[in-house]
Amino acid sequence: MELQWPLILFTLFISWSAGLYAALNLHALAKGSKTARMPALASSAVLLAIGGVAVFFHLEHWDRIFNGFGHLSSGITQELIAVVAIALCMVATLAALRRTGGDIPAALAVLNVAAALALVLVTGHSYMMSARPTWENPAQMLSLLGNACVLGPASYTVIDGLAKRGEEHRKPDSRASAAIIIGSIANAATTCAFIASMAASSSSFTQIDRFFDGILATKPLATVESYSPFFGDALGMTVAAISLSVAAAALAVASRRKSQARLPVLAMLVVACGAMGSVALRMAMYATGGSVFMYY
Amino acid sequence: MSKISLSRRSFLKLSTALAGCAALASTSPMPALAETASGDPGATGETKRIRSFCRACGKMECPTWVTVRDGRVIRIEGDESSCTSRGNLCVKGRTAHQQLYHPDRVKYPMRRTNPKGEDPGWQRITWDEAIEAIAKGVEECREKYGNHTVKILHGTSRITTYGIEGLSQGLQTANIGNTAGQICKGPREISGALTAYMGVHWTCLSDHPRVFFQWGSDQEVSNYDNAGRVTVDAAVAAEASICVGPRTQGLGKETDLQIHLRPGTDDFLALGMINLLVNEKGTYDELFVKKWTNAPFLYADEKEPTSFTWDYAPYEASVGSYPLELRTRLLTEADVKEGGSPRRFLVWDARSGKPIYFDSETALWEGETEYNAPTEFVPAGLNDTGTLVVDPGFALDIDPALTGSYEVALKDGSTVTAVPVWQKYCEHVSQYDPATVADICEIPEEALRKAVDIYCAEPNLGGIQYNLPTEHAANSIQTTRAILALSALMGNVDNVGGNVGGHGQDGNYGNYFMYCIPFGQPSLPLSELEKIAGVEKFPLLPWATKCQGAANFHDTTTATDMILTGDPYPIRCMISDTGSHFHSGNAMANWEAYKTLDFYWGSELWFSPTIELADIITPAAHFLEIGCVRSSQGGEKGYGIMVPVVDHIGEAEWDAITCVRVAKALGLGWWPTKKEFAPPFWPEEWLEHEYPTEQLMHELEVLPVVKGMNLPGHNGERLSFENWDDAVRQYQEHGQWNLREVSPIGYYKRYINGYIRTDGLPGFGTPSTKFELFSTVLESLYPGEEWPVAREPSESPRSTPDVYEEYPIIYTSGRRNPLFFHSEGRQVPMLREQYTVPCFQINPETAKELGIEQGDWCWIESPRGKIREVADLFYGIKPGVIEADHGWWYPELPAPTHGFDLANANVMVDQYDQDPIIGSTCLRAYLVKVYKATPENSPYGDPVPRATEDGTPIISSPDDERLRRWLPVYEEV
Amino acid sequence: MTRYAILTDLNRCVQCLTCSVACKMANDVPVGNFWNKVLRIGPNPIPGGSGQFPDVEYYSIPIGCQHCEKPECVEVCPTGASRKLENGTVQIDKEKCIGCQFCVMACPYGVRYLNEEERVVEKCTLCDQRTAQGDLPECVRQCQGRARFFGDLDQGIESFRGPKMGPEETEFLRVTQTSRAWSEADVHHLPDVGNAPSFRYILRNRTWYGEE
Repeated sequence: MELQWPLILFTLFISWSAGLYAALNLHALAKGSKTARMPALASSAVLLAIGGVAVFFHLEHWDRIFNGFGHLSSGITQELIAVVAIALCMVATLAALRRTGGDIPAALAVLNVAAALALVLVTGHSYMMSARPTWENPAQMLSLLGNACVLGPASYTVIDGLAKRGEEHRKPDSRASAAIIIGSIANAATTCAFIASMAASSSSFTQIDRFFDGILATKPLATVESYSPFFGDALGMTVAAISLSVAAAALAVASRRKSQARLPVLAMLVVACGAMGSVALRMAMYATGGSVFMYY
Repeated sequence: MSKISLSRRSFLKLSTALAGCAALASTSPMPALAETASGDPGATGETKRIRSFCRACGKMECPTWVTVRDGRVIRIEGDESSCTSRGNLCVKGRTAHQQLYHPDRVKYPMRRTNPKGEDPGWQRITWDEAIEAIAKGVEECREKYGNHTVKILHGTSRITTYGIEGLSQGLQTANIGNTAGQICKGPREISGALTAYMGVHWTCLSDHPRVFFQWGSDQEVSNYDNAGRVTVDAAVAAEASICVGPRTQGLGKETDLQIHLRPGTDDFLALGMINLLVNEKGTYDELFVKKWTNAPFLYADEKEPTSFTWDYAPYEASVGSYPLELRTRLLTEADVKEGGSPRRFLVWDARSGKPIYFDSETALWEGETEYNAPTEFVPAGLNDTGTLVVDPGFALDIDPALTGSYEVALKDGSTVTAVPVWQKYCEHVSQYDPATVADICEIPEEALRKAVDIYCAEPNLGGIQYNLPTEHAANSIQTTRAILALSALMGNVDNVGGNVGGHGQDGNYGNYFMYCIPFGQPSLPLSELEKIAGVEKFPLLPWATKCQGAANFHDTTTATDMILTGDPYPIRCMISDTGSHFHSGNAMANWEAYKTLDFYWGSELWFSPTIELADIITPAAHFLEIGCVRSSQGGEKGYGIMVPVVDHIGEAEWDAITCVRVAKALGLGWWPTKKEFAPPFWPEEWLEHEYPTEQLMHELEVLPVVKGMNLPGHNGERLSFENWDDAVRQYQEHGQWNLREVSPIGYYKRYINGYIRTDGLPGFGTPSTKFELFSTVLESLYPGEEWPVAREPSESPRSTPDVYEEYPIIYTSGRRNPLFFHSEGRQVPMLREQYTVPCFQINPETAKELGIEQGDWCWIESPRGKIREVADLFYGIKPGVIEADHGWWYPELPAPTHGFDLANANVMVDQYDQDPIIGSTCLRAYLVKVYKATPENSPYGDPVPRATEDGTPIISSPDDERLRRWLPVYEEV
Repeated sequence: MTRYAILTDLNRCVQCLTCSVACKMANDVPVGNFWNKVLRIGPNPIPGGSGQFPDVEYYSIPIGCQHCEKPECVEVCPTGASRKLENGTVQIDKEKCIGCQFCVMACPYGVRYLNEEERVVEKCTLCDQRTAQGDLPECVRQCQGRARFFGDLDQGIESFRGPKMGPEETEFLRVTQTSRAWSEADVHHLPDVGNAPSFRYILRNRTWYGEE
């Protein structure tokens, strides 16, 4: 399938926003410092909004967007609901932060994490179409979760570093580093799992040895092999996705002993690798996204 | 499975149904429409459904329903009540209004402003200026070089009426005719006329023959001349089916037996089947062979040939004849008796043990005083609407011998040994034994035997549908003649579901004047007709023109040479009616020649490559703008009226009228309204109009029916019109007529009751009145060809092994693509998007050897030229053989070539590889090499073709914007 | 309950392309898009044969919206624009469509597309307006091979009908009147990934490509 850039960016920013939002709330539950909370909340809201703008370029009739809540079985309806839910949570969290001078009640924090989790899973699930063998596996859904896991803690660390810029004598935050390591390893694992599941799905495609379509006479014969993540253009994307996710993990490990000042810098690199890797992975997903009966 | 019955409409209903038309479901058929179907913007929401005909191919003529709203065609569909088509309407007809309203149609008269060979720089002129320029150009050439300097070029004419044929009457040129006919149907019509009658090859599939036998044909997508729907119906209904052709085909794959012979070896296969039939199986129709063929005629090798003149009109008395001087070794009364007639052929009567004669001038056997006319008739054919004439057998107690050797005393006292033709025929075909045929055709022997077992199980199983490929290997007369003989020997000539003929007999029955103009030059003196281009090599051509239809042509190759060399006389002027330079002969040679003409006028719908060489173009009307009688060209026996459904687009004009205007400007007179040309039954008042109006030309088409000259059907029913408008009205109400019910076309085995010959005698339209297994005409004009002759293709692995070394692939072409009628349709968006580029079919193993993959652009190169097409890896063709699309050019590329040089198969043809009898070019069965197109070996470094003129790339994807540009435009300019 | 569907007798389909083009003409489908395409499946060597020409087989098959029983496209549509009607067909309400094209992705056969001008998704309507008036879908009525038939699956495919042979007042012919006999094993459908395609294809004596 052609690369659907608005959707690729949408899923990136959704996972990013959700991951950051979850990291912020988990950090609050673990009684971390309050400095970064407001900027992190603002950032995740902005990321969510960017994701929304990206989707704007995909939909044709924005004027009818409220029809989009019409059909519960639809992944898009579910996404819309999840976005609205997390937005409401963000508003509630903003109110809480202002009212308490930087606190998030535990129950709200847990709700926030749940909302973030739901948003990512629902987004991934909406792509699980039986018509697209390489998309249908739960690994696809989990790979978005993995993206959230690496982007969240790393972004939060960056924001935290920026927020504490003027402070002196800070201790390295080993929990931050641990979170980034766990998240990036999870991301590398889910990335590889998704790619493996794409490769394994080739037997689900309908195989026709030879055929002819006068409309596409100048095209090479469509074959099942061409929908492998290791074939043609998809190969580059696959390699990029894996390398970048591994690089993020490596950087995360290297961050363990870094000083307070250096950690956010490394975290930024992790974010960059994680984001680019996420994009490369979704690109591979579209490149291998042929339908089970790919001959029409 | 159950038999389908068409409900029979009473013919009597017609005479009462004229005024208040009965509604047919939700439709109301309309009265004469040309004047009411205007583009008047005042009319809002007015929708009419008009019954008409399609003319998107050349020509099945499927009846249609055309929906017109506010003067605009919005829908065309088939008419399921039609006996010939059953509602069939292929994609070409379905999209015909995309042609009608195409933005690139020629809409105005044009004059060129640049030299030939460049973009013409067409400049719009008025009709008067155009006519004047045409008259001037043509007249200058005629004055300088004589009448025959004018060459006619035309194809099968989407503009319907071949008006150009009428113009050539006045021009009195010998270089007439349908140049496409030389390689399409002409050979079948001519070999048919030599052997039986003109057009005999056409089959009647709507009768549902018991054996469905397709030979070099795919009417399921070509609709030629059997509608696709009827073809599939017939194949499915048949008890057994056979398909002969090199490839696995759409319907062929469903048949019981497929014979995938080597391209160009159809003649060997046919004679191989005949050999098994006559020398082994013996299941031929013995009565037919003895009574209706010249098989029992005695032939004497040693005697001096006997001469006689054969003067017979093969198409229609008013078209005339070209007498042939024949010389034959058949034994005649003139040989054995002083003062005996050379027209009385001797046979050996086994009953009486002595020779008796058959008189070909009376069609009577010696001893008969009058013809024993048949008295028994049984209903037959489609829903028993036809009538089978039952052969009463020999009237006398005679039994002509088919075998034996007889000593016959000649009048000078000497004796000769005479042998029946049949015996020699059987001996002659024995050389085509199964092992030889299997080897040459490259098929298993069992396939040959099985074909004979199926088709020759018993007589009357059905005809053989043989089409273009049988004419394209430079042995067209002999190949088509052999297949016809096979059908005839099994009793299928003019039989139910058999090879029955078509419009070749219409002329006989007065159903209509063919297209309102005559083919074949009835008014040209024969001494002038004999100057026809190619007559030295092909002396039969003058006679062939009298067969009309596609049999009427001059030799394309010779004419091209005459343009270039002036030998034996110069051809400097050309008049074209939607003709092309790439159907016959070599496309490049024709292109170079036409470029040098002093004057070239063409009437055209499109700016096709050929017309870009013209001096003047006039816009031709599309078939939806024109009316015409539509009688089945082929064997499906239908009749109706094509009705104009919209006004002319731009300044387009019916080609027949344009030709009248040109005739007037040249002071030529117009057949037949000019007194000298007019036939005797011509209404006096018409002679007052030397140049007919459009209305008058329509009246001419139906004149025979209006005058009651048309012969009735078996039950005495016949068509009856008051005038053209009445014919149109009746057609709207009734729909297509089944000619079985209203004309002698409804008889089967018409040779028995005298409805085949133009002089009314029983028998066939040949010198002997017999079906000529042995051809007296060929014996006389082309000695050696009187017996069947199969020929190895001239350029083949066996005949030119040296060429084969460098060109190791056998090439065939011409398969039907349902979207395009030959070179047409490439600019119709709904058609071109389905198939944007020419493709060739190649076996995947051959492709692999050549490093070619699906979708690759490849060069296909013969010793004469090369083109590029896209590879379609196709297991349904033999390794080492390819089948490449023909007729391609690219309308999206600039003038003058529009890319024909890049893609047209005819650039590869050897124009001198011609059928030895009538010169058809070898279009298939030659040798090529195939290799992938790469940046290194392609112009502009691009494997995808680009215009020679300026590098514009072709349309090769359905997403190309240029396709959208071709969508209909409706504004009247 | 009605389940409108089309039956195609693939031993009669000759790839004339009339169904594809006539549909486009009747429904004004934009250039470059198709509601119905005809593919040539094969020729491929016949299994167990010589592996080479002439032991090869092929069939042509018209493919379009299958008006599935459990349409995936309806599942994923957020606005309810794609919906299954009482007569069994799947239709798109163009007023509701937001052009998200998830239905395009969800269709296993890829038969939906975005109409760039109207900015909504469209596809085969099974000629709803024609069938509502008792007529046949365009691709059925125009089929040159007399290979397409229309009917209600609940009545069994034997009841499906194709073009007439006669004047307007005659009936549409039943498939059993014109097609050769077939067995249950000859009846096929396109790959089913849970969507239960409604259309049926008859293919005798040939390998079918695509069964689950």
